This record gives sequence, structure tokens and C-alpha cells, in this order.
Amino acid sequence: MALLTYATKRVGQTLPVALFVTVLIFLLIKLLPGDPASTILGDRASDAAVRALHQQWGLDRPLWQQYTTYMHNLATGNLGQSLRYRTPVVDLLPRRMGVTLFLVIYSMLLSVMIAVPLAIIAAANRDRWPDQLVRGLITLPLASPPFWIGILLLIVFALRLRWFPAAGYGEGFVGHLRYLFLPALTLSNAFTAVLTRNLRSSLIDVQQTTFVDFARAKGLTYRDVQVRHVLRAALLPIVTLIGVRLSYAIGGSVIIETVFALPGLGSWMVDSIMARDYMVVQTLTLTFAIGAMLINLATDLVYPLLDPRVRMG
Amino acid sequence: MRRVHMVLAFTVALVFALVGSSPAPNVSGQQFKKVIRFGVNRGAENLDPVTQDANPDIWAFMQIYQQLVRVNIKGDGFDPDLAERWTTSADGKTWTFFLRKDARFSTGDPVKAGDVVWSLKRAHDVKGPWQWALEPVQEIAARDDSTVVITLKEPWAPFLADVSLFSNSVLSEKVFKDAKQDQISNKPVGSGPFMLVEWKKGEELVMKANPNYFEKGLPKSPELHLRYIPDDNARIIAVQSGEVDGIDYPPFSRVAELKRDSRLQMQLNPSTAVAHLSLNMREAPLNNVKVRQALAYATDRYAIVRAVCFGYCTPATTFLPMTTPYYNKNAKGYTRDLAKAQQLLTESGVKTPLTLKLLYRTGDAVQEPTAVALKAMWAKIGVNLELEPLDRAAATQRYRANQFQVNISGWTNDIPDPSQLGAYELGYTESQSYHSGYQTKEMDDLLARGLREITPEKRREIYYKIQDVALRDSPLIWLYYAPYTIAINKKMTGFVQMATGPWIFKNVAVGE
Repeated sequence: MALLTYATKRVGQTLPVALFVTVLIFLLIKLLPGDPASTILGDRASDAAVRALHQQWGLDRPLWQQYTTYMHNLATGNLGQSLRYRTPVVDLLPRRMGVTLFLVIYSMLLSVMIAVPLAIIAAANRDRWPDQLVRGLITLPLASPPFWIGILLLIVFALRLRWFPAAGYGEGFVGHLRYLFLPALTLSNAFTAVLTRNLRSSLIDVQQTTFVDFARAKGLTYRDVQVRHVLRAALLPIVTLIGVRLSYAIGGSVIIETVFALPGLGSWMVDSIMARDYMVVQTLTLTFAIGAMLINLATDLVYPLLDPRVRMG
Repeated sequence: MRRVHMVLAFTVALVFALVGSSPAPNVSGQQFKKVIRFGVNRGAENLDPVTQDANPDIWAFMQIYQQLVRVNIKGDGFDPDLAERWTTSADGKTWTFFLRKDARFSTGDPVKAGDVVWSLKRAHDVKGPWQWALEPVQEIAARDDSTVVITLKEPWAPFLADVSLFSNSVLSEKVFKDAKQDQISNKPVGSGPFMLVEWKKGEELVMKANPNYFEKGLPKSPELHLRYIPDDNARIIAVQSGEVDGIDYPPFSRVAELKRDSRLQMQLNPSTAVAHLSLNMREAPLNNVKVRQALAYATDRYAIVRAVCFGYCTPATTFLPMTTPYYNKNAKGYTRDLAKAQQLLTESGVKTPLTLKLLYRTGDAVQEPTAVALKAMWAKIGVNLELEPLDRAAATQRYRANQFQVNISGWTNDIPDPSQLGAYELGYTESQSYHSGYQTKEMDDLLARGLREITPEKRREIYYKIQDVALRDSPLIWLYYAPYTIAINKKMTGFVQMATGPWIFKNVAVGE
């Protein structure tokens, strides 16, 4: 029950923040110089054509009227129309969101699959050469910008070896796995490094606690102690880390999607800002904001479930 | 440690599974690929021929729509398209187009005169950037199902060129008559070689061969995919790795490298692109013709061509592109002459050092180096150029509001005739002479005569004169003529790009 009350309270707290975000974004984008009608019609359009579009889109009305119309539409589930594509935003959103979610989750899974074995090897061989090697290896992706890693991977695996496609999203689940492998790997780089480092120190910490000594004293095998007790306990702080990094990953996808020509939310956001496609920018900002809030909320809720020692205040 | 091994094994297995799942080679013995994949630097946004202005959209819907007549490949005359022949009355005011009887929309319906009348009336009436093309038209009528009669208010020299313009594409009246405006933008239906089957916005346009296309045996390939790959590096890697069969606009900086790639053919196609500077002559000091001429003399076009186009462009000598009819190939233009520039500046009475502001689009691979080069060149005659980089939308707004001193811009023709560019760059009513504010009675008269003079020789004289006067008055400084850059896989044959821009894919086949 306490958890439910806590969850309801947290959700209640996020709503005003979301509302504030809509006002802020609405004003910020209107403050930007440039206008969608001129941008879309191009340099050569006549003033009359630009005026006609303004009228058609309601951009000639006062700001507060535009905002109330926007909020009214939002409340009725109408996200508006992409000015550029002349299509309801809600029709374009699912595929775009699918690409980004696939990419982000894929990169998280890759990170975990790479980081967990590396961290275990490093922790088990603390301060010996395998540990030094792992720690050395992970500084490289941390120090390299993602677009550079992306282009490097493209040149090696798409251009020279031709193992993976160079651009696009592919068709079907297997197609997505194949097309998104290099982008996901690029996106996972920094997180893999952070995860390895954190998991390694977490493992080392847990190994030094009394319950591990106790487990060993009970006569459990080394492997059982490591997997059942140490790894399980060490994974707990990682949950928070995953939550935090998930928000980063969504941000990072902007660059990755551009480098690999992926039709996701990130590249769409950049394109739409450039074209002053107001409705899309507003919707995406709101989506990102709500997404970040939900991730935070989920992390806060999952953590006490996993670790009974944490009690809600 | 067994679980650890399992994780490792799973990782390795996944990687192998991904690598191993590349498409199986075609074993059917087919010689050609079913699909042409072409990577474009800008995605399509709106496929309505009447309201759209951006090249990626126009070049895409040109695969879907036909016009009454079309520009020939050389770009100096017209071929039949939906009209198999046409006649002009003796006074030049009545044009009769006889439609071919075997043309059909992709829906299977025949293309009738009623469709042409409906489409042209729409192009004439709907507010958009192309209304000028049917401006001289008084009446459009169908005499019968296969004859269209267009009456003009007065004889109009570029009329056939105007009719060939993409905005005068023929749409199916039956499909669109009662449709919402946005349906034409999203679901075009035409009689051209391809038809749109799927549009993943911001990602890919998927087209299939129109089974009812009148030219038998064309298009050669059953499918055409135009894929949006905005990043230059990604687009180049896509064509190099075989992910796509061709790409548009590889930057000039990569041309030499692509030429060396034995799998690719690097094309530098003749175009009508002219890069120029607009000078805002509403205020001092740019309202002084001597200052404008001094700046034109201080500009080293050869150096810009080397720095910006890596040598692949041609310094501009007049406002007309080389591929346009009535281009004066003997025009001298401005060659760099610092002494003359300095002298003109002194004569103008403007004090140096003089500060001018240059507006350009940030992150633009062409405009940015142009701005830097100009700053160095003009400094030599005591002009301090302040650079004002803005993102495209903001820069466009400033330029449209005439809030600039010097603006970097450019042009590509849409019709094979000098009248469109003339009206736009040198005529005030169309665009305030590319927002320079230039307006003289001499030029207005010349432009009007150029439109109404039907005899080609006399027309040539008029356009030569226009080129001379434009250079003398210099409301714009013309910099260079740029080719279209295209990189295609050598297995792709039959690809053609018109000087006015559009690609022709109907003869394209891609070998396995």
C-alpha cells in the first residue's frame, strides 16, 4: 500500500512539471528567429504564399491563442499536424519511436552483455594483468566521441568487411537487429565503460562484506558464492545507473541516428527544429520530458522492490 | 563460472547470427536487381506540384507525373509528353495540344483533356510559388477528350517552356477533384513511369513501375527507392558499401576520392546552378553603383572556385547559367582587378575602411568557406566584412525581411528559358530582384520585351543586352556555375540528370 501511495504521489508531482515543460517549449520555439512557412516554401516563395500558409496554420493569431489551441488539442489527444509533412504527428510518431526505443534497448543489452563478463573478470583478478587490461580498454570508448566511433565502425564493418549495412533501419525483427547492430554498439560504448567500472568496484565491495565471508564459511563453492551472492548484490546499484544512463542514451541517439541515417526520434527532432516544424518539436520535447520522468519514476520504484533495506520516507 | 561462459557464448552467437543473416545471393539467374536504391541528401516533404518549391520533392514527383510537353535531354528544346503534337495560331495567342490516346494514370483510367484542364486551372489558381508560369493564360478549355486549347492574353515567348514546368503536371481529376488539399501532397497519382506505393516520411519513398505507363517496356526496373541519408559521410559510405546504388550531392571535397573509387562513377552533370551574392541596395553604401562594381572587381572568382568547389565549378561571367538559351558566352563578367576596385571605391566617395555585413547559412559546406574567402579578398580594398552566420530558418527570415547587407545565395532554373531567372533576379515585382531592391525602367522594359518577342534572333539581342545591363548595375555579384554531383555504382546504367535538375530513372537498370 505504501508503495502505491508513493507511486501516486510521484506521478502527481510529475504532472505540473510536464505542464511547465509545454509552456516553456512553446515559448522557446516561438522565440527562435525563423518561421516554418518561409522555411518550407523556400527562398523563392512570394510573400502572399507565406501569408496564406500562416493563415492556414493559425500562425497569424496571438501567442496565447495559439497556446490555448495547442493545449486544448493536447487534452483531446490531438498532437497537431506536422507542418512540413502535412500529416498528423500521431501518424508519424510510432515508427520513429519504435526505431529509437529499439536502438536504446538494444544498446543497453549489448552494454550489459559486454560489461558483466568484463567486470567479473576484472574483479576476480583484482590488480593483476586481466584487471589492468579491462580498465585500460574501457578508457578508450570513454575518451572517444560517439560520432567518431560510429564512423570508424562504419568504415571497418560496413565499408571494408561489408558485414553490416551502412544506413537505414531494415525490415522485420531480424532486419532491425542487423541494421541497428553498429549504431547500438556505438551508442553502448560509453555506457559499457561506465557499467564495467561500476560493476567491478561494486563486486569488489561486496566480496569484502561479512555475508560473503559467511557464505564462504558455510562451505559454498567459489562459483556459487560469486554468482548467487556477490553478483546479485552487486547488481543492485547498477539498476539506478541503468535508469540514469537510459536518459543519456536517448540524448545520445540524436548523434547516432544522424551518423547512421536512422529514422528515429533524435534525427527527427534535429530536422524539425531546423525546419521550425512547431508541432513536431513540441510533441517530441514533451515525449522526451515524460520519458525521462517515467524512467526516473520507474527507477525509484524498482529499487526498493529489489532491496528491502531501502524504505520509502 | 558456467553462467559467465553462457553470457560470453550468447554474445558471440548473437554477433555471428547477425553477420550470417546477410541477404542470400540471388540464385534465380536474374541479371538485374529488382530495386533501384538511391540515397538523397534531403527528404521529400510535400509532393504537391503546385505548392512545393524544394528540389528533392520536385525531382521525386517528376517520376510520378507527366506534363503536356517535356524538356529534351539536351535542354534546348521540347519533346512530346502527354501531348503528341501542338500548334500555335498565327497571332501566337492560341495554343492547341493534341493528347496521345494511350496515356493512362496508374489507376488505369485514361488521361483525358478534362484532367489537363482541371490540373492547369488548379496550377493557375492555387497560391504557390509557381503561379507565374501560367500568368499570361486567359482561358484553358477542352475541345474534346483529346484536345486542349489554351488562349493567352498576349503572345508569350517562353510559353512552351512554362507549360513544361513541373507545376503544370497533369493529375487525375477523378481522384483529386473532391479530395482534401493534403491528399495531393501525400498520395500523388499520375501517369508517369513510376507510382508511389509507400512513403515512410523522413526515411524513404517507395515507388513501383506504373503498369499503365505508355512507353512500352519502361521503366526498366520494377521498383525505385529514394532513401533519405542527410549526412554526407553516411551517404558516401552507403554508396561505397553497396547499400544504395547511387547518391546525390557528394560534397566537392570528396569528388577526387570518389573518382578514384573503381566501383563508382563520379558524375559532374551540367546544371543551371549559379552561386551569387545579393547586395541590399536600399541603403548606403550599397546604393552606390561604384561600390557594388568595386566589390565585384575585388572578388577573385577563380580563388573561390578552388577553395569552395575544389576546382569543379566555373567562374560566372553573367547572370545566366551556361546551359540556358541566350547565355552570352562572350560576356566578360568581372575579373579580379584590385587597382580598379580601389579606384572605383575612391570615386564613389565612400570612406574606407568600410564595414559591411555578410549573412550566410551556418554549417553550409559551400556558404561557410565562401564567406571566409570573401572576407580576406575584400579586406584588400579596405572593406571589413563582418560575418553573420545564422541557421537556415533564421537566415531566410532575415533575408525575406530585407534585413541584410550582403547575402550569399544561389539559383537553379526550373525551365529552359532565361525569363524565369530574369524576372526573379532583375525584376522587382517577382522578388524585389532577389531582395536586392534593384528596379530600373530600362531593365523592366527589357524584361517585358524579352517575354513578348517571339522571333529567336531578336530575343537573343534582348537577352544579351539584359546580361550587359545586369553586369553594369551589379545588384548581385555572380560567383560561379556549379555542376550537380552524383556518385553511382558502375553497375547502374541509363541514369540521366537534366540540366534543370530532375533525375530520369525510367531507363535505369542495376546489374547484380
